[in-house]
Amino acid sequence: MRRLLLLLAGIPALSGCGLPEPTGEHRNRLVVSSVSPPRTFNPVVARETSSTDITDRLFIGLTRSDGVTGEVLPYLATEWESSDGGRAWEFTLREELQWSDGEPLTAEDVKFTYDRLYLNPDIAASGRDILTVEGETPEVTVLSDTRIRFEYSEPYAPFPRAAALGILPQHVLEDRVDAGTFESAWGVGTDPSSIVVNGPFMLAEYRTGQRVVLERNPHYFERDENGESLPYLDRVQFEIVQNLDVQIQKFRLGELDVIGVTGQYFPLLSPERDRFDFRLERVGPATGTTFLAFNMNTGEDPETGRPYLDPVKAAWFNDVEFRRAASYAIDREEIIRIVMNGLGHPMWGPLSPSQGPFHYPDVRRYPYDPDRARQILDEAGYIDRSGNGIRQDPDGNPIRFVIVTNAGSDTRVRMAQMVRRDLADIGLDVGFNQIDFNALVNQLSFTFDWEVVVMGLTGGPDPHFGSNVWLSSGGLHMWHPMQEEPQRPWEAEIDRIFVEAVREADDNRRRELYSEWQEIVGEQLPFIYLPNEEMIFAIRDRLENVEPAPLGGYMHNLERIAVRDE
Amino acid sequence: MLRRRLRQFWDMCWTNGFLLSAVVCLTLLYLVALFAGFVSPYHYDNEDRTRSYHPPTRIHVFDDGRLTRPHVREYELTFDEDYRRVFVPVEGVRHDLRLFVRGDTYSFLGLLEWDLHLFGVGEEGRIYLLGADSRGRDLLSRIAYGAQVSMTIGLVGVAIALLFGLLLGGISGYYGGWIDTVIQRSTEIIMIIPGFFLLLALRAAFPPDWDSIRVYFFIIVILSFIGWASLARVIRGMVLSLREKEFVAAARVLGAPDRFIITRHLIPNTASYFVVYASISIPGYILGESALSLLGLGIQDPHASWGNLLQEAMSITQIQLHPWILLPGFFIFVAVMSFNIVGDALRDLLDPQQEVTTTI
Amino acid sequence: MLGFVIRRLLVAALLLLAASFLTFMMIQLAPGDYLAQLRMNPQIGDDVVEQMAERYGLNDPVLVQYGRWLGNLARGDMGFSFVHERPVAGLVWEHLRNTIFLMTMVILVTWLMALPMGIYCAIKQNRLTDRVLSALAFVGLSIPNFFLCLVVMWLAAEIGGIPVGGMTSAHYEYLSWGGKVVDVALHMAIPVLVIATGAMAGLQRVTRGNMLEVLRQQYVTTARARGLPEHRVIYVHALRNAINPLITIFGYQFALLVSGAALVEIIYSWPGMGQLILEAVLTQDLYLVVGVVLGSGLMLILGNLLADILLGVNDPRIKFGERGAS
Repeated sequence: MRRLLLLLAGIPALSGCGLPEPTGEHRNRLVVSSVSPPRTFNPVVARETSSTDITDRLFIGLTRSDGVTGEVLPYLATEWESSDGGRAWEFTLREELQWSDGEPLTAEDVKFTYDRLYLNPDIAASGRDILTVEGETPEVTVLSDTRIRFEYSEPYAPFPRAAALGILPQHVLEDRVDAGTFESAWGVGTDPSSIVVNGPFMLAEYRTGQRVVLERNPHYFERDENGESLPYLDRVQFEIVQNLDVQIQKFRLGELDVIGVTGQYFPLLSPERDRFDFRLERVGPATGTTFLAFNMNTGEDPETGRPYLDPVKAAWFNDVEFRRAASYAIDREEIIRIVMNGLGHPMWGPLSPSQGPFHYPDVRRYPYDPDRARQILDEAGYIDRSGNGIRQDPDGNPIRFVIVTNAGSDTRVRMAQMVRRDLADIGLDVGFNQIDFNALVNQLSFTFDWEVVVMGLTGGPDPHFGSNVWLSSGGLHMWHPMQEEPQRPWEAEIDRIFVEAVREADDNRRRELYSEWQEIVGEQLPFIYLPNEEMIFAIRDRLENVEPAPLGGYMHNLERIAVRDE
Repeated sequence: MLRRRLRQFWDMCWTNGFLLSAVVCLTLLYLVALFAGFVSPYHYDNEDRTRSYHPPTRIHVFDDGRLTRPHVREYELTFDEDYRRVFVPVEGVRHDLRLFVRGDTYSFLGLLEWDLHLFGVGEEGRIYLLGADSRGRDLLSRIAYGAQVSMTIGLVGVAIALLFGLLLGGISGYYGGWIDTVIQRSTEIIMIIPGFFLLLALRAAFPPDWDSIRVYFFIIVILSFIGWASLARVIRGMVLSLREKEFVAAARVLGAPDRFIITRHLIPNTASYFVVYASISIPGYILGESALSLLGLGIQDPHASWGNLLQEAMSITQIQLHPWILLPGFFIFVAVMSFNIVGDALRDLLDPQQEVTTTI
Repeated sequence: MLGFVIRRLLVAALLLLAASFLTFMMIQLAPGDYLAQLRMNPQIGDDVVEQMAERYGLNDPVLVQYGRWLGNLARGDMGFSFVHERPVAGLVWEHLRNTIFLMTMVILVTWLMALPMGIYCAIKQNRLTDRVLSALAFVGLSIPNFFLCLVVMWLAAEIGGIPVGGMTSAHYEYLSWGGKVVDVALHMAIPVLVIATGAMAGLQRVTRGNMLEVLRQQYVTTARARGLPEHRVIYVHALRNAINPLITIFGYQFALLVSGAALVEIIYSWPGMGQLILEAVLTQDLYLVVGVVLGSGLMLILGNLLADILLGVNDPRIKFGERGAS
């Protein structure tokens, strides 16, 4: 008993001298954090960023996208060319590529990966969608050990970008595909050594729910300018820390080397830069989008024959002047100041400025002007006739709706609360509610009975990969999904642009087309975009070559990151 | 008998300092809830975004070293190079603190529109005795309005749970047989499923377009749904033992109807337990609502409850930068503690044998 | 007694079955399903999502899904977590382990602190220390765990050097054996402190009450009258009798092991059942939710059984079998 007490008494004494420090042998190591645990190490069925952040280091593709500019660069392939007006694409592989078990990597592996994995209808491969153009998938032919050809029946301009999908080893996985058990191959319970990779790192250890450890792949082909083989780091460790606050505290304690933060956390970290030896790098607006969307669905439930949404409300929401008034009423500067602590950027169109070459800066803007919003509503006939402070539509229905967003996303919730207040201030009776994410998605994709939502979408590298959102037939065309024929002229216009752009081989012409699309969105406001947070990275001083960027984060050049000798 | 008990309780208050202060705290909190519009200087949704996270305002009684009327100073929000909020005093601007000022209108008990407030600093200035939230809303006002939710949720919840518990527990104990078995097994199933899960799962069934009043009542119903099971079991036990007592048996032999026996004999004899039960389980309801709101699934903005006020304090970083956002938690603590003390005293007074424990 | 235990366990199995059915229904009642996250991803096609729904059997009627799950359970398979792409059993066990570990520490701390305090207060009844400690007990009993947790985490973050979340440091693997122990101990300090505060206050009050009651008993007075030294009276005669009834509390504490600390676990990011249940419910990870409910229900039943057995062992007057299967 007495000994136990002594032991207990000893703990606070030890804590006085801080956390126990590791021995010096493992210094060539990068420790980063991940918000949730990986669900699989199989890149074909990996869907969440928690899994792809890791599989992207393990498996590389024919091409890669530059983390800073978004440009498509050679990777396993050294060069490629298109023929037949963008229908056929030929890639040349690097010589003497090897898998991490020393086996050669050839064009056969590439064919196997595409034909039997990504394009296999029996496998729920998340990459299949971006390989599909108008329902068609490519035919893959091996020309030689290092040459391979993809052939579509329609032109597919952004194909080289799609060809960044990770290549997998045929000699290891063919049996699993034959047996029909490929989807469960390389799950999180797999022995790390059985995962054969071609990327700069290979899996060393996964401690469930706590950390993933990668180690250097000695067979990785890339070398730096001095001929030294990459990667420089011996190990990369992903700490799974769900809570951003805990991440920050772990960073302050020196456990993590790099973290991504937002404006809210900046004032806490910024004064401590010298004390804890790190720098804060601001890299610009995030690539995703957050927006306010009004339900414009005029359809009826085929089973009950009842409209999904009260036609009275659908009529307001379909009125572009109504949406414009709403956009003028939102005080984006205050949202940035209050929710993002001054570190944010107003957004006007569907592409973030960080999203590279397709961003069109001159879309219509709706600066905060509540008087103008009121005037627009007055002119459109939404007038408060009863004098109770709530406007009514021309038929006398009071304008009343609920803004819904998903619980758990603090920034989004707070933005939605401020938007609610802004809209209430121009005389609309607006409620607010947060429900859990799944329930919200259920409304957006099945019951269609929502009124107004604040939602977000992740930003893809190429607008074409957002087709599901923008084509009027798309399932994510939230304001009126899965239309057989576009019901609004501007929707027809967007449909036309998207179909044309994917066939267009000329980059400048594609840019023009997508600019036109962004202009239409800015005019018609199916989504009213809310500000984007500034992406900020806190980077430990002892690290070299960390070049964070909005598109690629800080890991896009992981193989070149090094630890400075002290 | 009731009068005697009240008398005893009154005497206890004067001999036990804890109890007295708990009773005073509860009385004050309920008064604040009742007169929330009057005691708070602003409406709960009155925001001033230029004063985001304004720290608690100091009340000055000296100006230039001379004693003056109590007043507050004006501050302007700027961001420093670390993007921290800095409130810079504006020289020469002061706002006198006055009692009984006109301000935002509020409805008193839903009957009367009124705009008189206990105190305020007039239109130009703002007073934040407990600091402001992210949108510059007065935390004191929001806590006062939040008391309306948090201080009543327990009362209504306990009433509903008592109703269910009494009904089902009473039926179960009184009739016995298969009814008893069915009810007892149902209570066991509910008790086996973790309350936290029940809370989340039932909450998921809310339609999102409900207004806050309906959400409020539905939360209460969920909480009482979780609470009634244990109560029903206790009541069943009590009824079982009472049923065997002579006076009940006598009434039955004399041919009294069931209803008569239940209302005249069983309920009065178990009543003292209910009082104790109520005061002890109210904290559970307050905490249950807080937990839901803390996760964003309870009372929704712009309406305030102590739980959803604490939602802003879920981030340690935010607490480090603006510690006063933790204050609503302190009010929860005071309310819970007062109920515990009163409940404890009532138990000593009414029911010295029974050991009741809270569950949530 | 063995018969009693067996019967209780049988009833418990039926109850768990019913609870699992109810859980299943509740999850299905809630709008949406686990594939929501994927549906919102513009880069994943609808056909892929549909394929997954088919594969997981989410398109089948609820009763069919439940029947299938039950059939698998009979073969010892608790199902598959969609979100984690792993069997539920292993997942639940890993989190349960961490929660049990945490709560064992909590119980240890609680008993080691509360018993001496309670006894001390009883001996020094109504003196200053007793009053102060009793007041503190009330504070401890009343302070909401989540609030205390936030306050302590804030203080720890302000002081610095103390971990405020998680279970191990990032460099845990590279620590010496002793370093690992200290590392985990430091990470546990805050949640243990927070959860133990409430439990400790309760136990202290009960101990004090029991001890006071025992000290008033005849045999203590007799022992004193016989001239036994006071410490012998207290520590040998009174103490044993005062502690015996407390043993049942131990069983009930065990029952609360799983669900008692959910909110604190979530706030502190402790990788235990709280996190798992919150995530599972929010993502509607069907089988995982049922698994979690079964896991914690089982703990509850075992805890109550343990309490009853301890009660019986402790007090031979209680006969098993007469109390019904409560």
